[in-house]
Amino acid sequence: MKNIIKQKRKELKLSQDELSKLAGVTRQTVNAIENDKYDPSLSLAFQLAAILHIRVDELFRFGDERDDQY
Amino acid sequence: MTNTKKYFFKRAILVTLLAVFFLLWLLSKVTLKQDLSPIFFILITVLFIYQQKRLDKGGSTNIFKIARDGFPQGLKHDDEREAKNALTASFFSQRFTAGFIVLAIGISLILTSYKLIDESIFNINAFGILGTAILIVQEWSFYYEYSRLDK
Repeated sequence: MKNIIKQKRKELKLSQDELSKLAGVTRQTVNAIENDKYDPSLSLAFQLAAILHIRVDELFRFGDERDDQY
Repeated sequence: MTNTKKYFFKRAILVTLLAVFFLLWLLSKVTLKQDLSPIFFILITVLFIYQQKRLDKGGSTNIFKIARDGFPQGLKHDDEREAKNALTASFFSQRFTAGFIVLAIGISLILTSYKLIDESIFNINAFGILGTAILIVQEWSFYYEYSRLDK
């Protein structure tokens, strides 16, 4: 699954550490999600989307879907 | 090192210490003329209580209860990725330990079948050594696999 967490996080001037604290997870988990090494659960995905003020389907895309943004 | 990894490392160290005490107790029974059982019994009980208190600090360590996130409470973790890694590591550890037991018993059976050793090794000492080895193998194989996954 691809995502634009890093891009949205930078837009909001948040560090990985700050985002992880807001989402209640470890910084390593945020890093793993950003680098497509870990797919979050549905609840965590919605939580991240809410923090980054974006819809969950905009934040995450399934690997095969093509989009210039990704 | 994350808090969860530190917790698992601490747990592995404490379980190893416990296993070593059992092994020393066993060795003292074999090698020394006097029985040191009361001393070792007290030592092991104290270490066990200390271990439970240290490991309980981070929350409940009841491995039989399932927490709200669907993972056993005993698999201490800070978030869902760590919980998933801990669960995967416990599967690996279980397989590795089972493999170790099969191998240990298998080799022992071969040794006795072909009379490579004179006396039967299936006695209380062998049982004790195998038990302590299982404790150590189980804990460190879990920690090894968790460390490998937690990158």
